[in-house]
Amino acid sequence: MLRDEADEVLMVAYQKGDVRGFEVLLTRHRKPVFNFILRFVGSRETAEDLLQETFLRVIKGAEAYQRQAKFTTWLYTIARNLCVDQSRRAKHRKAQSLDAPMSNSADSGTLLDVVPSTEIASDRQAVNKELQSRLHEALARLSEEQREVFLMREFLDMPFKDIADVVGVPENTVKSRMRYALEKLRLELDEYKDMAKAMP
Amino acid sequence: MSARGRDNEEPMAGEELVSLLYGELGAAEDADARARVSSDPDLAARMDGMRRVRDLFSVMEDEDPPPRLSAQLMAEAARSAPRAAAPAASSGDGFWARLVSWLQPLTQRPALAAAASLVLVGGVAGVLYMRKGDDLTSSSRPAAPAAASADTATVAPPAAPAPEPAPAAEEEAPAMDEGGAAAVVESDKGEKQRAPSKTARAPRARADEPVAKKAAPPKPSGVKSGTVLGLTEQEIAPPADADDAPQAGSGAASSPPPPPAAQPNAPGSAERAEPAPESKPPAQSKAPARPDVRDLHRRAVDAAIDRRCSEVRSLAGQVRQVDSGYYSKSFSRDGRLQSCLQSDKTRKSTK
Repeated sequence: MLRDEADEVLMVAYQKGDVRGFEVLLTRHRKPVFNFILRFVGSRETAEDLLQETFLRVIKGAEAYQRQAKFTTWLYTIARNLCVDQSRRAKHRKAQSLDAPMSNSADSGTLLDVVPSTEIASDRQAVNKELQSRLHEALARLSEEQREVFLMREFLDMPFKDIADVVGVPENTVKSRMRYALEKLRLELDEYKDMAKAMP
Repeated sequence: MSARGRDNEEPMAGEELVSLLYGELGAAEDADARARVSSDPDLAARMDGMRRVRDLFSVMEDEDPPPRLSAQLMAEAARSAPRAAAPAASSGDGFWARLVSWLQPLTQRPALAAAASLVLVGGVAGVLYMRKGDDLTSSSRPAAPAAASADTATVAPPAAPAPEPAPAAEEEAPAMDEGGAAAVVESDKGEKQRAPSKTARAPRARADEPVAKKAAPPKPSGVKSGTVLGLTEQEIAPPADADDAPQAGSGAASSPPPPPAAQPNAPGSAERAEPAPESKPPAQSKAPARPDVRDLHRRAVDAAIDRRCSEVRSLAGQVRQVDSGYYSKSFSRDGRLQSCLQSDKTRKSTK
């Protein structure tokens, strides 16, 4: 059963022409990769483009793939590099305006709506919405180096060693970046420190 | 903790703290780090702050990518599958599956396919060429021993043999040159001896073979159908008399240089004389039969001319024994022999 096979086995299957191998890989990884990209670039539209580009590169690079390589390391290296390139292209633009919408969704507010809010929404849904926005904002304020490490470790559950392989720095550097990221996020989200306990 | 003490501890403790937070320490290190954190309120507070950050992000919701992306990617994956025919090939591990997988790169690269075709054609041509050379070499073997069988006993050694049998015509050239040079020396010896015996003449012709082959093309007249390299059995057999010798020599000149089986004739190689090949016995058993009858016939004619009728009668008896048909059709009807044969009949009838 292909669904239970390891990523590397699936990739080799696709390498031999079995499209079902790629289908299982896509089903397994599209959501985490999409959320990694989305949290990295902060734009859903851009995240969709980069997600598509990531898997297109997997398709194009399938012939050159070697089974010894860990598939997720390869996959997230592609995704991460696309995010870094995108971020560099956007650097010449004006820094994100506080008036800009946070996402494409019609009901999304602006950062001004949520950042200095002292009024805690009584409604759980509103609180959750506010927290989600604050988390996105806190992530956006991290440096790229800290953000990518934090996202990979926290959301993709990648060991520091694998992150070091993807990013191309020593493992201790990754841990150091992670420590600074955590401390910065703690300071950013200090006012919400007890909120997580209240969330469903 | 003072700022200074914190600075001294932090680089190590910070990385350890992160590793402890994500459970990436070994059992012993983990226990040690936990002990340090529990004994240090500052470390414990930092650890707690990191845990709270993790708790906060644990409620961060994942978003789903749009389904259309998956559909587009699947379409692209199907279109760009690395090897479209691979599923059928990989389903079996048999010879054809492997053959197909081997040949697939050729079909994708026309230049490589063209190069492979050239190599294949060249290889086949080379094999055919080599086999043709082998056929020529092997088919010449019966001829040489046959010639040798008649000559070797009384013949002086022919040209020095080539060190190894040369399979191809181009490779034979050096050996022929070497043999030819030796043949010239041998030919000079023959000139000095001047009047060699009948049997000594044939080897001289053989010694000239390489030179003759190199100097002049084979005579078309010597090539007959149903022959071995253009030589009939009679031509392969030793000449019956002196008049036949030049013909034999010319016939041998059209034959290729002596194959390895003929090498025992080489100087100093008599001890290495090998048994004749399989084809030799038939050549020996057939070859003496007819020439002998004709030889006997010829000798009988000579004897009749000299009026040596007793010898004629003796030879007639031998011819009758060997080939009664030849005797009745040719020998007994030979007018030159009639006087002796008649006298023999008369003598018998008077008895």
